Amino acid sequence: MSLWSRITNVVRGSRLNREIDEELEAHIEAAIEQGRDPAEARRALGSKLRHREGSRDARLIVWLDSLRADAIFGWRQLAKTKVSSAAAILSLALALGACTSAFRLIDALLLRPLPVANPERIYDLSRQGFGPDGKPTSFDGWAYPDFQLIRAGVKNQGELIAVSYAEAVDLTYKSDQEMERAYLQYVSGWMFSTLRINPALGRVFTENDDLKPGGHPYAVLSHDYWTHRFGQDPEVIGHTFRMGNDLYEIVGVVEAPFIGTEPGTMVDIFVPTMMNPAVTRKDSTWHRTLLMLKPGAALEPMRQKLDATSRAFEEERAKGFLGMRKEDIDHYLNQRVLLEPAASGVSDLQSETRRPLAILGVLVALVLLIACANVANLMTAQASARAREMAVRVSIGGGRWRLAQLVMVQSAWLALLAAAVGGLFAWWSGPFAVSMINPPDNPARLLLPADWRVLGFGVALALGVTLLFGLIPALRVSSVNPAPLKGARIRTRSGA
Amino acid sequence: MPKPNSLQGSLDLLVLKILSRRPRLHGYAIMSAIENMSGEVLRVEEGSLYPALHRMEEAGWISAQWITKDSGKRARMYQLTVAGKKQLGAEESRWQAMTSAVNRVLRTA
Repeated sequence: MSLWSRITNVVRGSRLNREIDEELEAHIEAAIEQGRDPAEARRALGSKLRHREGSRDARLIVWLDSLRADAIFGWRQLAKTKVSSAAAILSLALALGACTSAFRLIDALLLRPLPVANPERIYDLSRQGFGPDGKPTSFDGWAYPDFQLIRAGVKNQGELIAVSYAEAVDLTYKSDQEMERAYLQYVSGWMFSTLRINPALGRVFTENDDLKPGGHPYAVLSHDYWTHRFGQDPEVIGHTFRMGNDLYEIVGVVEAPFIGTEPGTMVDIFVPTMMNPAVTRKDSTWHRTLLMLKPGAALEPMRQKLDATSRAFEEERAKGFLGMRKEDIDHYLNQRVLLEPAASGVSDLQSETRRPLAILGVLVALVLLIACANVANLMTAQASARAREMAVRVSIGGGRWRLAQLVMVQSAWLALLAAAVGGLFAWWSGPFAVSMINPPDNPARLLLPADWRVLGFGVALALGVTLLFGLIPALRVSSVNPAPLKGARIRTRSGA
Repeated sequence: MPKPNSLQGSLDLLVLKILSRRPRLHGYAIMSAIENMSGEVLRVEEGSLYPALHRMEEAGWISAQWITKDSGKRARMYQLTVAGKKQLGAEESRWQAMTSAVNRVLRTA
């Protein structure tokens, strides 16, 4: 309450002054009523200005008040040099906008954790070995029978989840004449409970939906698909669609943010892994394997165990490799299981674009630096034009920090305005950039939320930029010498 | 700034005490009350009264309210808050401790 009143008093400073004056006036009146001499009463009370200072400091937050004053003054300074200010703001805005949209892209694809419970404990299993030509290879596809073995082997330390490579499929809700495309992913029934993904409607799969090959023709929709395909119709539960020769029944819709584990592909329909025709085949590696490590479980023993089970499976299978050279088989068997953190999911788009995106990031950062250098030049030039004003301020007792603050606040104005314009630019250009990433027949579909992460990045960037181009002019100003003032003459009222 | 022989330090205590006895007083009345009750011994430095009142108000010990007097002029009336009562207790015991310490020194030295 008290802090709040001190904050509000900052914005109604003149009213505060009036109130203080009025109270003092009432005091003098009371004194006169008591028969005291008006002049004496006024003298006893002391200077009004001194009271104001003392009471004001008690009743508002001093630094906030000075910040307010500097903000107003800084704004006027910018408005004075409209053209150069606008140029500075625009060049900064373009650079900030480019940085923010690059961040949006990189964040959405590479950094943002999956919207599930404990994403930091998710790992992607892959096998690394050497190809026939001796080059290192790595592949994260698994055969389902192998998956079942290794899952059983590590049951106590973690849960393994099979997720197929998301693919576009043709299906129909009506007749064969009305086929449509949708992105489909085969997932383990227990994925939903392991990642704590809840249904928004109906139910999600459990382990019981994923037991018998071909035996569970059920589908769960993503919230996004439910929205744009069915207009969030609650009657969708129980609807059927046909894919290939199988008729699937829709049993639920997952909660909003989850759209699969592959950034770059928004899955529309989830079906149980048991519905994949290749689920019984030992020679078809059609799904990824994700590990959800149990709390407290160690990674390396887990890896060794996975390694051993997987190798035993492949050795068993290699007995049937007829007509292959022994060393090729050895090459094949000498693969190591790798566990890579997959908190932000795992997709081919990620691995393909990681390098280009890093280069893009460096490029836009350079553009930003160049823009900062330009604006810093401009600010320094303006500051030296104001050297005399600053010298006067120092002479009449302006603290050096206050002067530095004055210039920094003006820089902050520039950065703030630039960030606002740049934010608009980033908001527009982000989705546009994503649409350019992939070939038109398989466009990348990426959630690009403009949420607190992006906002936070933008604000941090604006602050950083303020420091970058504002600090040097501010420090320069704060080291101004009060005297001698070149060319300044002191005039008195009587003097000539 | 505090001047020597001003009531700085004990002013808070006196103001809180006065307000605990007589709620809703304006600044001048508080000052007069302190002077009258002390038998004109204690004089409140008028220049330091209002900054002190405003400081205590921000600390939440007293609250203020504008009222309109019969003459049409407004006056700012102060009264003690719950936090102020607590503060009064603390200040009073601090004052007792200090005066008894000073007395001890005067007796024994």
